[in-house]
This record gives sequence, structure tokens and C-alpha cells, in this order.
Amino acid sequence: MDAILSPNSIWIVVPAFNEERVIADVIIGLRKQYPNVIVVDDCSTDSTRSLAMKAGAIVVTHPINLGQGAALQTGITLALQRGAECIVTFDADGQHCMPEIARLTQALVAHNADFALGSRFLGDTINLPKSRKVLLRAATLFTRLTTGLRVTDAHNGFRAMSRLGATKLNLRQNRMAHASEIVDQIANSGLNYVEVPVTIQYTSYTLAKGQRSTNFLYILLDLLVRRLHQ
Amino acid sequence: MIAQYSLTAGLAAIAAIAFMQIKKAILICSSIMIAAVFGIYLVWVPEQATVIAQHVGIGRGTDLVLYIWILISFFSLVVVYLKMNNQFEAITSLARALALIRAEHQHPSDEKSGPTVRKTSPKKK
Repeated sequence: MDAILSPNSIWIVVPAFNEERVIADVIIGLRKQYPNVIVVDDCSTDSTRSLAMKAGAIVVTHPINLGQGAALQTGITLALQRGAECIVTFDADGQHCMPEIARLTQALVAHNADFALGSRFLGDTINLPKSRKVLLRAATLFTRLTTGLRVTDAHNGFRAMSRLGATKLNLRQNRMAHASEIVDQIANSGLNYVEVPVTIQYTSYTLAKGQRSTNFLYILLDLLVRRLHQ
Repeated sequence: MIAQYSLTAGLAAIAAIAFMQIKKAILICSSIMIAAVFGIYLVWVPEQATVIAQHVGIGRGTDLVLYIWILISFFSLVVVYLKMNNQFEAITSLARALALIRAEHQHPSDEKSGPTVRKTSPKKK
């Protein structure tokens, strides 16, 4: 990684599905510092696409709903095509903290790493329900056991990666199991990673939009099937 | 006798279909054919099922057939699920390629998703 990353070389990838309530504010906030923002509209049925475009994002729209993992891979592919040196994945629902993007990208440079993974358990959480915390801990334990990487937060969508790191990713888990898959692929790539404390803010909106507890069963099933499929 | 004839016809049809597809998947089709022929044999000599069942530690022939059927069903389910996954991956690749091509040709003023639909004014008569 270069010693200094200019904002122009950093591309923010925002997967979005029916986020018309918040998408414009998120994009406008991001673009104050980072001109290159890609919104991957996962075939939303509301005004997400037009609002994101009006806010100045590059919008790529899936013709059918594929899932967050697929949206991330599409955004990463487009960012690489456009020459990104660093890619940050950022949730559309506003639960990530924009000033912490710099913390992630600086960690890549400072530690000469190819992945900087946000960790809410090293950092802070606001209004995290206890039941969700237990499930996230369980998911992290599962990921640690299956990948061997001693991560503290496996399902955090806030992360940064170098161009080299991004080229090593090939997400095949279209749905929410992609988070564990990313850690798995990082482990297989042999590249360096660093965990960075971040703050995740839960609101009634993010909790309603986010994963339901039962989804963790589907994630587990997806991961087991993927192991069969490999 | 009606049941025996019906089962024989059904199993024979399965064997015939497997035979017609044998070039596409020789191992699976051969297995299906053998299973179907063996099934026909058991339909007409059902006491053999019990003999075989007792050899492998199962009491009744019907139980043996049931267990084998459950195993075949589970195996088929996994195969279909994996094939479905393959197809879904292909669909994802196509959808992604289409989305990226559209993004390349995206104009800032274009706010519609998917194919652009333009309204035409009716022709004046």
C-alpha cells in the first residue's frame, strides 16, 4: 500500500436494498470526503436508485434481487474496474460511522495489511440488543473454528481492503453468509489483515432492516452447503 | 395383481428413461436401471426382500425397501440442491455482468432501473 491514500483512490461500496429513507443522507455524508461512492442497488422496489444517483453516487443496479453478498461482489468488481487502490464496504442503513473510514484505511497503511476489518467488540456498540450480541458472538466463534483466524467480529460489514486484497475475493455466498466467507477467503489468501475498533450504532430502523435472529440458521446452512459444494 | 402390474410398468418406464439418458450420466443412469430392474424382481418375488433384509439385520423386507427409499430421496435432495446452487451462481454471474454493462452506459440523468422505457406521444390522425 502507498504510504498515503488520497480520497480519490478510496472507493466506498454501499450495498442497498430498499433504503430510500436513509440512502441520500448516507451518500451525501460520504461524498463530503470521498468522491467515489458506488451504490449497488439490489433491485430495490422503492426510490433507492434515483435518490442515490441524485446524491452523486455511481449506481449499479442488479436486474434481480441477489442478496448483500452478491451486491458487495458487484461493487468490488466495479471499483476494481475503475482503478480503486482501496475499497471500503459500508452499510446503507447508517449504522456505520463515517469518520471511522479514515481509521480503517490508515490501519491498512500503518500495518501494511491488505484487509482492515472493523470490530464492534474491540470498539463500541450503541443499543446493541443482548440477543443479537449472543448470536454475533456465536457466529464469530463459528468463523474462528472454521477459518482459524482469531477475529473478534465476523459479521461486521464495515471493512477496508487494498486493491490486492479485493482481487483475492470472489464472493459466492449471495446472502448473509458472505461475511464468514470473506474471513475464510482472507485466511486462504495468506494476506495480512488487521482488526480495527469501530462503532456500530443500532436504531429501530437498522434493527428492523437488519438480520433477524432466525437468519443465523440460514447462514449456518449456507456455509455447510458451501463446504459440501467445494 | 393390479398393483404388481402397475409397479412393474412404472419401474420399467423409469428404467427406459434412464436407458435413454445413459450417455449423459452413465453412472447415475446405470444405477437407476439396476435399481429399477431389481425393484421389478422384488415386486414379483416379495419374499426375497425379507430374506435380504434379514441378511443385513433388518426384520422385514418392507422396512428394507423403506430405508433404501429414504436414503435415495435424501441423496437426490442433496444432488438437486447442489445443482440448483450451480444454476443460481450462473444466474448471479449473468445478472452481475448485465448490471456492470448498464453501469458503464449509465447517464447521470437516467434514473430508471432496467431497460429505459420512453413514452411516445400518440400519432395525430
